[in-house]
Amino acid sequence: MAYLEIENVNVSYGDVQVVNDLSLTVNEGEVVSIIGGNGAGKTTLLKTISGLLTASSGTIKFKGEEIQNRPPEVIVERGLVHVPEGRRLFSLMTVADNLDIGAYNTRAYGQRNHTILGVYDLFPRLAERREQLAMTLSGGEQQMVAIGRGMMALPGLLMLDEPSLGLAPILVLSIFETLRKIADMGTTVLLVEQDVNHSLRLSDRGYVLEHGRVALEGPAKELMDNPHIKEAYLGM
Amino acid sequence: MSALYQSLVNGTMMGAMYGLTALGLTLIFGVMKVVNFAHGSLLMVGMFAAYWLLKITGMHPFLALLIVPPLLFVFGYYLQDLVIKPVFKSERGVREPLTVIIVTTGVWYVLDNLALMLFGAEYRTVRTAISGTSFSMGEVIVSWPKFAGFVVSMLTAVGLWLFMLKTRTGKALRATSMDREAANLMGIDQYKIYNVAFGLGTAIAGVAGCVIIPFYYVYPSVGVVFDIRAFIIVVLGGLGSIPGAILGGVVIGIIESTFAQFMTSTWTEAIIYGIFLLILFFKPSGFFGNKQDW
Amino acid sequence: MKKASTLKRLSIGLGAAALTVCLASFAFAAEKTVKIGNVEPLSGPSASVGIQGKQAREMAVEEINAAGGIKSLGGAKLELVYADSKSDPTVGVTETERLINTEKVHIMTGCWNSAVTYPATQVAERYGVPFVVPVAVRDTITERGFKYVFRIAAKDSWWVRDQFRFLKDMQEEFKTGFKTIAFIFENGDWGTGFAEKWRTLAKEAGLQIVLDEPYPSTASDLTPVVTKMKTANPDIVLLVSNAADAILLTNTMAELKVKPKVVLASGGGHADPKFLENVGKSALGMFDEVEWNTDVNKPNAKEANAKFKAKNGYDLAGESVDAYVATYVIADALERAASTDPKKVRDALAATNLTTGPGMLVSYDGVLFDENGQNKNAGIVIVQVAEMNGKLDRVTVWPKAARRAGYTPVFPMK
Repeated sequence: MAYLEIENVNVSYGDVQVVNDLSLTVNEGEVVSIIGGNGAGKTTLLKTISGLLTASSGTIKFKGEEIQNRPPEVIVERGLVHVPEGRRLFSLMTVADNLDIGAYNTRAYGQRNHTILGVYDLFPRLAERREQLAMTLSGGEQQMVAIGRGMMALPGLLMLDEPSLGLAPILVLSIFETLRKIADMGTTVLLVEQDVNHSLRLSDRGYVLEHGRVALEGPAKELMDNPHIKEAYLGM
Repeated sequence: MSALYQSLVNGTMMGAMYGLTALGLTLIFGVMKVVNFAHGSLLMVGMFAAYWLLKITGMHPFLALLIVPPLLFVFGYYLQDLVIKPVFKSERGVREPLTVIIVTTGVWYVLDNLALMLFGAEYRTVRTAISGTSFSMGEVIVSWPKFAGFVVSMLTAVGLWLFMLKTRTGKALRATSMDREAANLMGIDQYKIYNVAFGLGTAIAGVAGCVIIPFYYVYPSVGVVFDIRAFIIVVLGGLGSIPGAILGGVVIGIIESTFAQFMTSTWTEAIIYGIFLLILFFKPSGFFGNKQDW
Repeated sequence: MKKASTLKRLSIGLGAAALTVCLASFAFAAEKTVKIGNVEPLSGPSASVGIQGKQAREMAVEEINAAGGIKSLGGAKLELVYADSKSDPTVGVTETERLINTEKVHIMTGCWNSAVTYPATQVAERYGVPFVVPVAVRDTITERGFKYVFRIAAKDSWWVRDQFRFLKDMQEEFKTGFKTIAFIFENGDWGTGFAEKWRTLAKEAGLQIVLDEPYPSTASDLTPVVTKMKTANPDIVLLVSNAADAILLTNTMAELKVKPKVVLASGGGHADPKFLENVGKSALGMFDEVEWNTDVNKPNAKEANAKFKAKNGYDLAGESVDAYVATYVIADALERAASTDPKKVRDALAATNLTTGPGMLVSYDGVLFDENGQNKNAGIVIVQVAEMNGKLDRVTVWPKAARRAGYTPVFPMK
């Protein structure tokens, strides 16, 4: 049984169809990348999985249970956590409070004081800045908070939407190293990225989305050697 | 000079209570991004609840504080859940749902007219254990009901502040006010949180009702008198800001009280509205508000 | 064939007769009620008074109808139709129009608030419908040369004149002299009207005006006003207030321990039954000027008051008394007119000289209208709040001839 199974999902914004008859799977323990240009439907897909948007048809199963069109709070409770595009931190709350609220769901709440220690281990810089307001942090630090906040929810599957967006190269490396550590700890990762190079390197498998459909899929290494991908996404 | 001290003391006490009436409004706006036009009516409901409780049982108004706010919390919670939530659901995805504002206006009319039908138009007052009493502080005479109102207002504001800062629900309310979608992704049930916010705002209106009835009077459209002040204070203090509401209230209260020593009440009203316009013009986010809310 | 045509003729004849009877009784039935339209504040700041006026009219109409209605109109009954002015002049005007044009009332009464009565009576004058004003004191209501407007109560200039006569008489009787005076008044038509006249009379009386303070009736806090009063420290305070603010003002004065030597109110809010109920002993010693008091020595005064109180839970007061009187004045005029034709009713009203009957429970001799529709005899009394037999009561103290036997006024108040 796949950990996350998406079958023939269709999503529209009003009259505009953004995701077309899309199917995708993620197995437990994997790191899977979804790549594609702007408007390919990647963010829409993640939002549909996490419950912020509704699918007009199709099924989404997590750990065998159907979750399509259920509200976000139920999905988080099951262990499927979405770190949204653009970080979306609670700007007037401190780092510590942002992390704390990440553990809001009942499954994670009791353990939050323990979990946060792990997050500070992963991101020592955040420990230093724990009483600072989130909006005063740098871009890279904010991204750390966003990921850390996701971890606080004790995810079985962590979905990240463009974590490297807008960050300097050295920070991008650091982010991907952290993602590696998270995957090594046993968390299944679904990664949406524009930085195709780094994300495929990190991943087991990948999907390429174009116009809301799966255009290509396969093991990450094969995708990296694919001429179409090389030309369109790797600039070669 | 003693007239000036008297005015300052009086203005501060009245101002704290004005701030209290604004507190519920600013909370609801902060979390739900909705201007609750029914707020004055909720205040009226709180005042009537306090009135009837005190009139029938003759209990001390402080005791009423233990009964009326929880009652009003439940009232507000279910009012939001049953009447306003369906409209929210139909405007899912919109940051500042306009139709919700229209619904709250509808609630305002319904509540006011229901009260008119049930209780009649007359003005009602009730004499409580503390009505009409006062104590001296040097040259200044301090009215007991107003002093009690001042203390309760400050305690409520501080209590609310701590609640928002330290508790799980309080943090959830704050998170929702900053980014509703992200808060949803944390596992915060958006509609339940709205129910809590509305319930809390209404409970605070209940506190205000208990505090005001010992010295003022209640009638079905009393909400309008305080509501106008409440809106001005919310803008002055910053939409969604708790300290802003209290500070804004005190500022208005002091202006109203001290300026009245030098001119008639008609002028002080005009000045307060004038200040309102100036704020909107120069610093619409008020003392502590977020620029993003404008 | 002969039988059939006879039957036919018989049935036609019977049918015609039946139809005629129906039509006749229809026409007769149309004359069976006289509709009186009433614009009153049934909600808003003066609602309490509006409701009392309604109750008084209902009591009078019930009595008149039970006694056989208007006999000269074949026992026609009086029917009351109400409209809520909300104390808003614009609403008062549109409601008057509606009552005249849609409800087709024969006579109008109203509106308590001078600001509403002034334009509403203008509407009635325009349509040629008689309008009887029980109480609305602004002078100009009966100074426009109108033919269809009649007022039972005194004009406010008479009210103000009598307030100063009272002050003068009392100062002479109790051998005290006062120097300073303050005016505190609601900032509507009523209050500002009084204040204008107060200023003139105060100057004539040689009093120094130390405070001249209008305030909004709906103010949430009157401490600033009372603080100013304390600073100014006047000997005499004249007040014009509506029901709720009268209570607030008195309580605030008690709180801040402001006790002028004489406090004289102008009826309205201070005369409202709820006032004493809600301020208790804080009002002891206060003087109030009213249309009427429960201890007026007139036949039927006590009975009518007892009946009203049993029904509604409080005594008759200014508006309710004059509404009661107005209804009887209307009934009397209708009897003499023997018609609902507006001009005939108007003429009958103009010729009114009513001195007897259940309606005459006023403190003066009778209702007699001058050429402007003003009741020439209208007068007022001044009462003082005193503790009588352990209860708070309002005791008539002036004119001296009307003073309750055995009571010596407390002047100054302390």
